[in-house]
Amino acid sequence: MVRDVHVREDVFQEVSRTLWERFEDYDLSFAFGAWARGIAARKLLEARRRQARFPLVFPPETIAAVLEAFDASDDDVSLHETALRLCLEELPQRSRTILKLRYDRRKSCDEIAEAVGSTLKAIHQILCRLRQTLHLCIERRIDRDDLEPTPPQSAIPARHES
Amino acid sequence: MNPESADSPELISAYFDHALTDPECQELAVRLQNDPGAALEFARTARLHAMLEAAAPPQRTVSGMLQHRWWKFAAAAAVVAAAAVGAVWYGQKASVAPQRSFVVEQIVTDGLETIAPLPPGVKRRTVRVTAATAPPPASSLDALLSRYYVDVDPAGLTVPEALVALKSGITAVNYLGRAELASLQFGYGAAQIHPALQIPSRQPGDGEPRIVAPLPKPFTVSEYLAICGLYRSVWSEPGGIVYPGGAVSAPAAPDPGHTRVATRTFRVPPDFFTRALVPPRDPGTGPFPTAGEMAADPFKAREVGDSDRPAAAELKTVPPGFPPVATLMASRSASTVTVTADPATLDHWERILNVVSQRAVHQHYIITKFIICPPDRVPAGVNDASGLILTDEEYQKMTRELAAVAATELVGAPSIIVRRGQRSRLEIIYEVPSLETGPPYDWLGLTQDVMTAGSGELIRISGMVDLGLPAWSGLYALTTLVRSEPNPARDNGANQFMGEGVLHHQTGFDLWIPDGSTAVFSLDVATGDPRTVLACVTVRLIDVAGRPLSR
Repeated sequence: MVRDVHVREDVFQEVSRTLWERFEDYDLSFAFGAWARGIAARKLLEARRRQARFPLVFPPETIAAVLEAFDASDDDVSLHETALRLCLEELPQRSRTILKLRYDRRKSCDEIAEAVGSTLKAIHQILCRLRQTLHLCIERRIDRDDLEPTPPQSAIPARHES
Repeated sequence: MNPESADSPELISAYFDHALTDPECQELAVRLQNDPGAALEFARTARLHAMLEAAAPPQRTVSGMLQHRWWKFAAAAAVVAAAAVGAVWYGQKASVAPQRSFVVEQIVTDGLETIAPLPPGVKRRTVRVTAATAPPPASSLDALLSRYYVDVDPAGLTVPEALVALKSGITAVNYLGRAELASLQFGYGAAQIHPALQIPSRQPGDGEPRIVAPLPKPFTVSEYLAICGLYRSVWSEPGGIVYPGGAVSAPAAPDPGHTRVATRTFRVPPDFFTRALVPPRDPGTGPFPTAGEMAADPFKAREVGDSDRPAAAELKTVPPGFPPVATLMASRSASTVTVTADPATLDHWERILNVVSQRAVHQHYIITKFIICPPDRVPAGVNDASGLILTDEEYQKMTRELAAVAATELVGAPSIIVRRGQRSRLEIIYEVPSLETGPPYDWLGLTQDVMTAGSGELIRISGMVDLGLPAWSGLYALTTLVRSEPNPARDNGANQFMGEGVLHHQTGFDLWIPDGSTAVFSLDVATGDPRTVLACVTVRLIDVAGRPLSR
């Protein structure tokens, strides 16, 4: 929601601090995500009111619409994470390489295009398709309850499962 | 991209890749506002994006912002004035650069009474850094946090409470006033709590699980965070480091009627069974050893069971315990632990074993040298109560200059490796019969008892040096006794002095030395020889493989 990376970090820090300080006020019967997002949105809007040039990407109305969409789809994050891990393993090697460059190495799309010998437009399209593929895979696995856990990476090397 | 003709998923995906122009952002904003489906797609993609970012390995670099803050603090610290401990050598113009040492006033001085009492009449030298200068920059915050021990225990606390306790624990041991440590903040991801953890100590009405630590304290900051990470992911604020706590994986809770079990075999370090689960010392007694611990057998180790079966039984008592359907087998010869349990227990045990196996073993490498020098060459600041703290460069310069002086002798003793919190004894002795016929025997030579403790970058060494010297030959015998090589073809050093009787010259010491520095103090030796014996004790913090720990 915030263009400038430094401002974004400051906002994140401010939101984290507020969540920490006000955690005692948190009502456990409500989803934490919704509560935290509400605080984050209020911080953003306060910043925008204080500073007309605050680098907010979307207007307040759009932020409100996005918040509503988040609340409407407040799923079990832990199930999604398990499913994501399994879906990543299903991807072909080239796709995993591109995701690794994008998320692990935090490369820009320009740098990824150069690294894999492709064009910027192609990389955008690939990332869009990969995200949609992962969406579908996650939903399929959750619907089918197909969440057989794969033993996570461990610092202890030898491991056998039966 | 033509914003008006692009699909919403394309626009949304490009948004998260920072690839939208201003007109495209505006188009996306309109769509999100007017199209609930697009807003839902945005929320879904945002979650996926966040999960992919969270799954990435952490970046372990100290940001420019953090270093910027450090320099500001260093500038402020440089203004603090304190008594300098001997910046002038030999009472003349300084031939050695002024010492670079640190503020240590914050150290609580209740440690003196915890040192083992000295024999009657033996004086103790207390040598500490007192001058104020900025500490050296750390190469990485990660390295610092794996060096500093905190005397707080997260057991029984919720993760937020544990992190608050950790902050105060870090403040208590931040003797060097490091800004990197003072500015650390911790947060946590509450949405990632492990739902399958059934913590027996959970209080009714608690929304938070209470930590059951698999290790006894004390902990390094890294270990402490790893234990908190068993229950939630934790991280420092932006600008510091990101801890790899990660999301705690949460497979579906097992159906009690159809518990699916699996078996995993974990390989553990060879010393896992004797080291990892053994409390290094009694809890609740602070970071430094007590008099009782000093007197206790320093080599006492506790095997986890005499055979594999008791070892397994004891491992199963490690918090948070074991569910009834699970089994555990330990093989000390193969250094493996085999667990059969439901997936949730297996995952949690894997994380526990990771934390336990990676537990830091800190050792102190102590090098002692003795310099016998004329009394007018004794460095200023060295007296019968205190001494000097020197950096490596200053120490080398001092020894070179002293070695060039006539009637100076340098005597090196073997080095010692001492595990933090334990006691060690160095002996270079020749047993000789006492003047009375038969036993008990006395000895000529050198013994040095040391016990170390340390948190972070400051190491405390306490103990006593005992020089057993011939009654008449005195200091002349010292180099002979310590340097003498066994040679059955001729009399060894001790035989020369037979019949003289033995006098013991004992000096206690309590040194607070920065890692890599040297403490110089004088020994109480009364032999009639006018020369002074200086003890130079250098200490380095090393890992289990003997490598110095990086800053």
